[in-house]
Amino acid sequence: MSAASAADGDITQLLRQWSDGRDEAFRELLSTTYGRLRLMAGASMRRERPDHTLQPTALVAELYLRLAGGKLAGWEDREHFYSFCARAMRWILTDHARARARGKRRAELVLPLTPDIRWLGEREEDVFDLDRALSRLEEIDSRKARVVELRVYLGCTAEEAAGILNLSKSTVDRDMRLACAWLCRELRPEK
Amino acid sequence: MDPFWQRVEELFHSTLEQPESEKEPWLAAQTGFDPAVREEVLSLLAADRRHGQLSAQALATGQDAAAGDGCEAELPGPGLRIGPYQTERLLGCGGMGSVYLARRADGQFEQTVALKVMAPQLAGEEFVRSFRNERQLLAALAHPNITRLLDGGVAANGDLYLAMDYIEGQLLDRYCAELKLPVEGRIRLFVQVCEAVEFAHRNLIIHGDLKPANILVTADGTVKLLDFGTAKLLRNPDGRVTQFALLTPRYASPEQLRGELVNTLSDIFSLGVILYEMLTGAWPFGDPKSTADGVDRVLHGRAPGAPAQAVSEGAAAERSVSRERLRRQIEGDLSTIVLKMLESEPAGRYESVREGKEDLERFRQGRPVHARPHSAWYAARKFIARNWLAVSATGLSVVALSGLTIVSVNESAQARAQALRAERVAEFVKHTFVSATSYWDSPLRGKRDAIQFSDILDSACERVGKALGDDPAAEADLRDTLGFTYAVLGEPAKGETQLLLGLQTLARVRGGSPRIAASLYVHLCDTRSFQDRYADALAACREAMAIFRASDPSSLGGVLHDTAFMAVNAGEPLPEAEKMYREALRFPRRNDPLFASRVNSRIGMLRLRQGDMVEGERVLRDADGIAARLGKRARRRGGRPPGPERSRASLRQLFRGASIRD
Repeated sequence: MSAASAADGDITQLLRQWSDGRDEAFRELLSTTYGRLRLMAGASMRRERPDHTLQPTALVAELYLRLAGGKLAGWEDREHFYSFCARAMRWILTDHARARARGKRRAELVLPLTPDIRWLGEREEDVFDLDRALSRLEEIDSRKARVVELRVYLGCTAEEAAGILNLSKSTVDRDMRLACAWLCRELRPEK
Repeated sequence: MDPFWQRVEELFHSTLEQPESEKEPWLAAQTGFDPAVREEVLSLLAADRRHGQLSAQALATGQDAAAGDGCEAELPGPGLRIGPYQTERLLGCGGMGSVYLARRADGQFEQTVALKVMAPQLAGEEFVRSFRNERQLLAALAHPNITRLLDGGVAANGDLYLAMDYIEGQLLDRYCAELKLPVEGRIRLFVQVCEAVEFAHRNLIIHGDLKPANILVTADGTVKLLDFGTAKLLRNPDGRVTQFALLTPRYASPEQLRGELVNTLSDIFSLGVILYEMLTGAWPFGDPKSTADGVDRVLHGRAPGAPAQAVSEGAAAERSVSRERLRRQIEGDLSTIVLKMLESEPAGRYESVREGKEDLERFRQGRPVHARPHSAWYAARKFIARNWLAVSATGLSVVALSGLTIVSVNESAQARAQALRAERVAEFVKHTFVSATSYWDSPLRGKRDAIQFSDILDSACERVGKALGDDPAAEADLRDTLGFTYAVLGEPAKGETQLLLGLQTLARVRGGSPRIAASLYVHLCDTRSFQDRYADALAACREAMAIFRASDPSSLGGVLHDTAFMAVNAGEPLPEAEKMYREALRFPRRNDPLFASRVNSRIGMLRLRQGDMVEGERVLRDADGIAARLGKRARRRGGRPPGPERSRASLRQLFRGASIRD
């Protein structure tokens, strides 16, 4: 299926299905966007200065324009859409890290870091580990996993994440605080 | 969520709120019978502390890392032989590869260069093409503000390289910050940037990725533009940005972000962002690091914030002035200029870099700038712009009524004349609008949200006498504009009143003012013809013609044409009108290339109506030829043809025997 055909029909549908818990919908969304995502993820290999980590913005904008074609009018649709972008970003980065770990010659992909977790990304395995840790966190507390996804993979501020998830900013802050501690324990265990 | 985790979460946060020394006892008291919960919370609290420490460390080392380029590990080190060059040290990593300081190693001559190197397999075909472009393009560009390309080729290992002048300089933004350069100095630098870009545009090269990181300033204050890496040839039939990846969205135009065709106007937008940042220290679209702000810009065409409001204390200090002073410097013309560059619609920007640069120079010399502010009265101006269309339609319907369908040839000439007038009207509206909303006793006060344009005109009419009573010439001039504006907005009767008042006022001016009087009469003629009162319109035209004959005979062309036109419609004898048309041909109008063609088509129609088919056809064909030539020329310049197709269609119809309505 081409991106264009997806844009015309079922992107909104797929987003809804995905957020209703149908995991295959994510795969379908991703397959329509993969080529574009790879190209854009590749862009970050050639970035020179930190202020050029534009991928999240570019990603969201690009996907929105190409796939949704501005049809995501409802607030709920937007929430799903942003969450999808965060998840897609996570998927791409993790996939890339996995390929690298298998010894494929690829330049490093940089996480669009949130200032909340500055130590993240210092180790090569962080991208991979973060993905696994988030999957575990999701089982315990899926809301926190979503907050982290938006903040880490899309570079959203606390206010933006709150707006997207329809939470108060203080809830997002509290979620983030606990999630950071939890992730630190997973990724940087005390020796 | 399970109850265990819920309990852990609650206790984690409430323990954090306790004073340090009381945390553990407090937690113990809360979890007396549940050691598992206590252990988990303690473990998370320890992790929270550790997270804090690691973040602090990362911040410290992160700053170190940011100082270096952080790309050495990925790329071959110095001491490499690349083509005829020996690398000395890595200068930096760019979006298009790494850059070394290098020396010629073949002993031919001593030369230090900046050597840009890129492994083709890292980038793929796209890049190789881009690289070849750069090589060709740069070689063609010799300008004091553009880094010179010296050499380029493929090294033994397949790496592509470009050798450029090595410029000892600082990045534009850092240069400005370190010298605490005031606004004036920043503008001077920016003008140099404009000159370089303008030169490139003249050579059909679009930069496509203008940003402070691509602009160096040498110690003597000379600007040098780097990296025409994403440059596209204007003549390239496919000017589309093929690789989204190569953009720097912070400085990219909305159309670039949408992946549309880029052109010189995209560069103007990027220049606007750069200038905005140079002046205010802020990004025009909010927080450059915020995803939402960036997305908002792309998706909703967010308008830039008012430059003067974006100024912070720190930014002012970096420009060696107080915040208040910086605001005052930026407000007004400077804001207008930068916002014109930042129009989200390309058509709203300056048409060329040169225009923007010239406006900046005008600003520096204290002369009025050409850009128009985009403020409260903008809406009114748009309103007028919309109504000009209505006016054109009115004009055409007058023509249609008179049966002279062929004169649609004139559409664009009329549009041009009207555009000229629109400029003047807009100027007037600006003043009217501003004063109408700032006088506290204005009748418009409190209606701010629902101001009607006619309210403003009415209020202006009331004020004119009071405000300018001591200057009858100015009053008459204003009433002239007011009258015409009313006519344009579909209220010709009101307009006529103003024009007659204007003529009365003018009588108080010693010696009169032929220019204003003539204009009043010409407009009077318009308002009357809009009301289908051709005999009255003709009377006004005759007055105007008399004034022109006495004061400015070279401008008789237009008024002769109008008078003849009104005469025909008022039922005057046709030979009289034809005589006036023929006389009009002796006074071609400046800025109106279609004038002769229009007049000829009228003469042709008159000949036809008088039964002279042969001469009528000949004159009409001539008129058509002129229009067609002009149309071709306009198309060659990339503009729109001034409507000859329509005239030709009418001609064909005419000579197929279609009846001529009268």
